[in-house]
Amino acid sequence: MNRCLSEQSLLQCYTGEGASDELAHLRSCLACAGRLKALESDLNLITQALEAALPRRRGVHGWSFSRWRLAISAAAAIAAFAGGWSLRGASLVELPVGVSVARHAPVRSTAAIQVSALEPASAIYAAYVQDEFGGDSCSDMSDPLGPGCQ
Amino acid sequence: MGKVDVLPLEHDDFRDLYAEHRARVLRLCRLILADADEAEEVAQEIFLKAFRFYRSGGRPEAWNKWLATVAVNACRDRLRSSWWRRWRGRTEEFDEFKAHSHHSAEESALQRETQRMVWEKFGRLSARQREIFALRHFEGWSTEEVAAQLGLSQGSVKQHLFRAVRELRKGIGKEL
Repeated sequence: MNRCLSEQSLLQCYTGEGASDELAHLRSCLACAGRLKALESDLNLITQALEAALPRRRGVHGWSFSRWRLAISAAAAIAAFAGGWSLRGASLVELPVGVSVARHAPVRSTAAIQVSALEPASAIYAAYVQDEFGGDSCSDMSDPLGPGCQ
Repeated sequence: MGKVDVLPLEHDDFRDLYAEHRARVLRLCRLILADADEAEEVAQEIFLKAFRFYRSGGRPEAWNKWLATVAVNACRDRLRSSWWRRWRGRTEEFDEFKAHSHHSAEESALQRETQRMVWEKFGRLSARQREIFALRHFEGWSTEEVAAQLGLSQGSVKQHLFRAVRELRKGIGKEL
């Protein structure tokens, strides 16, 4: 094997899993032997560093930006919910005494204008016209199920 | 680890086992979790599990392998469940720094900086890469054993290990 070893092959040689031709190359190539030595030295340094120091959580004073952002968002959501809860059921506008607001006209008979997927648009329109302009007493404000409407 | 200290006398064997393996298990948890406090908690859970296993008559072929396997699984569970961990922020304090007394102040500062950089890079590795690095370099498991334990192919283990080493070397200023 004449080509120099890749970093991955070097690592395998370091871990004792190198192929025989790679190991043979290492014995004959000073450059690769030097790279292996450097890898060994780096891994020793890394191992020592990981052995020696223990990372710990940050204290309360070390709050990161994302934590502040989350805390503020949570507080805003809680405030909005609390505000909405306290206003539930309260009318927004108090009308002066004596002022009346026109009530929305109740829906008259809905029987004639029920939309059906099978019903053509013209039939719906005809039913609407019949109901709106030529409706009988049954479709008026009176009880559609009352006497005379059956 | 107070729970283990109050063991009845007939469990002296387990006490020895605990004394023998505690540091190793703690180190493994610390490496996988990259957090000393969580590692303490998980190591405690692991020895509690080990004690229950021991009390029920369980005697594995090799306690070190058994404990390492339990530790890897426990750490993985912890990483999966601790969604809030990200919220707590990164771990950046090194309060158990062991400086060598014969080093000068400058050398100690340099050493500390190297440790910080290495831990920073290590913390950025994927959990899988940390597991593989820890088992391979600290526990001395073979690629075959790691692959069997983690349910990966040997090629995949080698690839993960290579990437982990490459990133860690960057941490000490070695760009490959």
